[in-house]
Amino acid sequence: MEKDKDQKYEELKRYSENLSHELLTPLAVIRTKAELLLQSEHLTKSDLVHIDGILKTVARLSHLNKGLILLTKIKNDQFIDRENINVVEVISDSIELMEDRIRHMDISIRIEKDKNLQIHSNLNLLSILFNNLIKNACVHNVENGYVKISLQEDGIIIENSGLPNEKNDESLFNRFNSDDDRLDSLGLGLSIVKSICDKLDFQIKYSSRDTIHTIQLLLR
Amino acid sequence: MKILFIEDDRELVKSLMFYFSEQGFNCEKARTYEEGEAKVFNYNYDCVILDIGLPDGSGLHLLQSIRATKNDVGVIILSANSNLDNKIEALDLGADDYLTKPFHLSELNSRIKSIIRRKKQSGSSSIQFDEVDINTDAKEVKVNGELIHLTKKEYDLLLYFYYNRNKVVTKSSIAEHLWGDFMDQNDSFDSVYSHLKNLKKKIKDKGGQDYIRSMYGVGYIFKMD
Repeated sequence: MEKDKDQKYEELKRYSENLSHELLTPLAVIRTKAELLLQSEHLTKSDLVHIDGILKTVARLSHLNKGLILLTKIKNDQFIDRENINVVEVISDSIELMEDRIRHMDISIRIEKDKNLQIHSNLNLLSILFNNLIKNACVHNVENGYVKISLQEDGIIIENSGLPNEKNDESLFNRFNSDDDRLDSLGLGLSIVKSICDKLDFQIKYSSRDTIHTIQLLLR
Repeated sequence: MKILFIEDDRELVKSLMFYFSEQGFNCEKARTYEEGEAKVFNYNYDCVILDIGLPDGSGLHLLQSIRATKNDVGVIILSANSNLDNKIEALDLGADDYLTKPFHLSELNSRIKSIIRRKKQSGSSSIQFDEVDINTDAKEVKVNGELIHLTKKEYDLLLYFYYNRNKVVTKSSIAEHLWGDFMDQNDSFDSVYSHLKNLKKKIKDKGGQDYIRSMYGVGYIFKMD
């Protein structure tokens, strides 16, 4: 009985993994068809708006699907190499990805304390983790705001200015939990963060006080 | 220019054949490993677009056998797997480029054209049109003989537009071209606009034409006669 259940679970798992990959070609078909329509010469403005709607939806679906594939890979231990990593280097790369928004919103970025902090970890996972955290800290920020990153032997704290948050609890890390008006951006990102922390044995905590939001990563 | 699509999805092949025939390419298709192999070895192509997951074999294996005898043909791998290891393996086996599904037609187009340019190039590294002169070695752009200083993103954007000239290029394809797929649409669209505005201004300041038109928020078109 127990074995039967395990086997069914394994089958289900494999099925959903394959499904994510199987979706990529149909997504490519829909995207290319919509892009072909877009090249047609006599489109009205409303035709263009409809095609744009298809393209945006394909992009959302494809983004979600990529996130699910990544989550599965993390859960299946496909990132196992460990090496000594200079944390500041990884964080700097993540900041660079957001440089346009940082300039646009005039956000100031500060990195404090132990700038030589090294941790023994998986580079891929660590980059994805910081890409997501830094991105959230920048996107959910305000004009002339700040992001402060403080590095210490036992943990990393990322603090940012923003709007007050009503839901101050762990549900932030559940899959598909997202502000309604920014459906594209959050959702999967934080559950990816959570599963990376689980894999790397980091403890992650979120808290907010008025307009200040804090993510605390405890390295164990 | 002759290109071959080796891809088993009927609808995807139809899209590709249609789009690239309109771009002036002489296009052929193969829907299996066996058919693809026969065509690659019996005819000459400038570029082969090769899917990894073919019904009767792996595209990577076919790539290996192409590279055993043919080095002049450009090969772009299409994959339904964004696995980094896969990409490295494909490039190691001699692929010129690697693209993950679902790709944008304008992205594939710019990759094909840039590979063909690289392969055909005999000394000339310059793209010229009207008053614009792009030096692809030095990554320098001149307008009416005067150098304009572009950031890396502005330069990439100009080249992307040039390869996709007279076609509608969507904002999301531009965003993905410049930042990869990490950024999602809401986050990157303001940035696309500001890079574009700067590029337009720099060309115009040296007396260049206004090539870029907006298409009702969907994308842009780089108009050339």
